[in-house]
Amino acid sequence: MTQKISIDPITRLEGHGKIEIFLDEKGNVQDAYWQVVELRGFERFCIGRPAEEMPRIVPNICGVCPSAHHMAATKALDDLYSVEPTPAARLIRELEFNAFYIEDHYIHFFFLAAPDFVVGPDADPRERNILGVIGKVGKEIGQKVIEVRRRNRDIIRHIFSKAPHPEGGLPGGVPRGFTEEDRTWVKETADFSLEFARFAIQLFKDVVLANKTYVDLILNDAYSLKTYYMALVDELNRTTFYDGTVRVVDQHGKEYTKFHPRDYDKVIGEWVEPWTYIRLNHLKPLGWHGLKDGEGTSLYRVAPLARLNVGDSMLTPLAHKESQIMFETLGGKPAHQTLATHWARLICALQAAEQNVEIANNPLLTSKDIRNMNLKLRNKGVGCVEAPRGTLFHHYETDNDGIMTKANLIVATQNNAAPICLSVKKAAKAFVKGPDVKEGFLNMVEMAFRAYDPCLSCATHSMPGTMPMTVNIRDHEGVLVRRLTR
Amino acid sequence: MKTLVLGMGNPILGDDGIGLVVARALEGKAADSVVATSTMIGLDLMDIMTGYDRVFVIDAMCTREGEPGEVRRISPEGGPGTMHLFTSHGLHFFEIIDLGRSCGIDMPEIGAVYGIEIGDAVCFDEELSDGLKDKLDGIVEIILRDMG
Repeated sequence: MTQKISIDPITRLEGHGKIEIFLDEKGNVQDAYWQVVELRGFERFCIGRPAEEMPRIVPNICGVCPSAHHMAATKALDDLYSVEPTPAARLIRELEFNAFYIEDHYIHFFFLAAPDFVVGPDADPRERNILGVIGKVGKEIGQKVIEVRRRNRDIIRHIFSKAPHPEGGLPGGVPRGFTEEDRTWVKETADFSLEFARFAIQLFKDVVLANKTYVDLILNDAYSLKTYYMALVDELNRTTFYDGTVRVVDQHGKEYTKFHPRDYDKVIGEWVEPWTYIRLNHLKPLGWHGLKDGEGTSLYRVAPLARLNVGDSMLTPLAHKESQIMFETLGGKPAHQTLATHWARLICALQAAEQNVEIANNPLLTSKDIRNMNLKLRNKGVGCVEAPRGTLFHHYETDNDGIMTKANLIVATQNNAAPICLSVKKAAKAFVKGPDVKEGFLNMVEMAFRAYDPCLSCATHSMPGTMPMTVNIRDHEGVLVRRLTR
Repeated sequence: MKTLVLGMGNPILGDDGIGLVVARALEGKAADSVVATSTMIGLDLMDIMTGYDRVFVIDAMCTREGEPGEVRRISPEGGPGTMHLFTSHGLHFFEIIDLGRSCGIDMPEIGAVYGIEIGDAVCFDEELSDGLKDKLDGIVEIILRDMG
């Protein structure tokens, strides 16, 4: 008899999804699916609109990663209008993008990930949240998290009017620059962020790495997946966020391919399955080989761990040093341990903070030359950034009046969708034995996907009220034989 | 006492935006209050509420039990939640207040959280359904009276 366990809705996930776990007659996990049950439709909304409206429309795809969509849209407009932003404009964009990285990564780490590692993966769910984290590490930490978020949002607001949904991205430039007077508070924010970034790394070492149970959990094979990895790099193959060439390395860390974002559709294949709304990405030249990792897979992963695996080094010195410590601890590069994504996330935030200290001190920051008006419409543009959740592509096409005729968005979570399914299945096989499962074990299955920080967008609101986690156990005919709720 | 009246909702999801519409209708009617609207949730609410002494929140609610237009006070102790204040993103409204206070941030006392039943259907629309539009004056009146 096959039994089914449903975890629906998934908690502490940016958006809505559910997990279906099927048991065989012996109570072992036969199969597991991570399902996305919503539909966004933004690619249709955009058609018929003037292309220059895209940076205003697409941030609303999500309340979590709007700055990434805004920047990808702005860069797509650069490409669409064949224009390079001025050096000062590029610098200001990078400042904003790093500020976004900083607030995003720390909110994820302290609000979504730390409950598992600071409070404990099998702790009472009522305590396994940010309040529990603050209870363990002190209210000063909570104040700093809120402060670092607020200050970096001020940078986003200054350049692009508002946060979290920025607007005003312009082809060839930015709508607002900085004065020497502004530089003072930007430097203060950058210095504060760097100090916090160093503190966060140390906290991870003190709380997580000093606890053998947690280290064993990170190294547990249940949380390991051998896939290809994709991320942006600069001309020296260093990890970058705002701009670069897309690089893919294989399961052994060897470069598989490197391509200009415009060529994304030659490398990225989108596979459709009837059980999910999300398209399952894979490396097109290798073909679709299903949900499998290891040799013969065509799946790749994006996001912080992928960024560190793909780059030959980090861009900034402190982040590079920390990445070396991470790889040494995990047994080499590439690292396949999914839970190490949290560690990599802190290292990426460190790089963003280091970069912003450099930018805050760069004389170019206060240049008035923030717009290149040499625009020439060429009907097609692709913008690509390394969003906090992974490589993000926006592809627009227009008619001769600049009206949108096509929009194709490859979002970060779409890149990770198939590996997330695999991670969930692997964790379920390791931690679920029979229908009589404890809540803590189900959380350990959830941890397999939470590391990716998947963003399913906030388009649906079908929540009945508080945040229940319901486990339905059904027999092979779909009859409910047990229900667990929290 | 600095009082905030905060309407929540999505302006392009039809009846889901009832909190925004009701809040705007309260502008000038709710004495000594600042009226604001927000389409954001979670920590963004903390930013909006910080510095006020008291807050009244108005949001859509979908219990599938009540009549559309019915107004309920939502309590932290349980019962039905509203559409935007209780999310899968890890922190609901009352936890945000607790978090702020835990961190020593000046959070307001909660005057009330009003949930307005909208029924099942949420679809893309920049206006409320006719059924809810007809009840708008009554909803505003109930909330205004309750706010004192």
